[in-house]
Amino acid sequence: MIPLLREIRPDPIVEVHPETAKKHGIEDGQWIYIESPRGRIKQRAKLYDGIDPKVITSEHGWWFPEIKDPGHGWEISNANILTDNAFETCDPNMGSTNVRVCLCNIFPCENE
Amino acid sequence: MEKISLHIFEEDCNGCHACEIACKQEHGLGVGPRLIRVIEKSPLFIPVYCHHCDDFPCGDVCPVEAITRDKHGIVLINEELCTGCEACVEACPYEAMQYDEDRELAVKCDLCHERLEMGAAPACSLACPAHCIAWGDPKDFSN
Repeated sequence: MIPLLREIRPDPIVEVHPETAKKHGIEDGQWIYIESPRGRIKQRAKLYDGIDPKVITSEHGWWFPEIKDPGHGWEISNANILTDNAFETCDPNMGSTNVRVCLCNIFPCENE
Repeated sequence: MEKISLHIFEEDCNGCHACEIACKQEHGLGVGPRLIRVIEKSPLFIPVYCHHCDDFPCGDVCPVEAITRDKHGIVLINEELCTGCEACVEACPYEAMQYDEDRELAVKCDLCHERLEMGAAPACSLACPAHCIAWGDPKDFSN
């Protein structure tokens, strides 16, 4: 981890349309849970009106080198938890996940 | 020579923070001081940077007169005189004056004046992929 880069981007950000955020009671900068049938992660909401109100844009690849557990908090904000990683649905050649989109629900973190 | 200042066309900024990284690399700064920074307040990206004001309040409050203006109008800190009292940090209306805890000194945008002497652009301006950081005579920006 490069500390000065972490200073500039400390948290994973999920873009949410302001109308959608209002509907779900989410405020700008609030930690929110993103949930799919496969699991739940949390990221920080950034209200952004440049996307369709029906979708959110979550950042992928997040883990936390500063958390000193062996897992470095890999399961806190990792978008791979939300996608379908089943053997049957992955690309037979590469094994990569078939789509980068999935149905999800969002709601604010009560304790943050 | 004419006055030089920085101007950021906020409507073109996409919030990539490349200017912050370039600035930190150019000035060898670690965690803490950010001489240029972009605040994301959706849908706006608000750049915060030194305006090299005509009446510079940071210089007025400095007890040791370490902050002066050079021949191009660039407001600079003399690090040998600076005592790290942080009076200038309080005084700056743009929150552009920063405090370097490692060296216990105030630090601010020097408009990369050493690069300007060599005819090069300020580091932030060079790094900006949206080309929204302009520098030069403020009278030219209106065009």
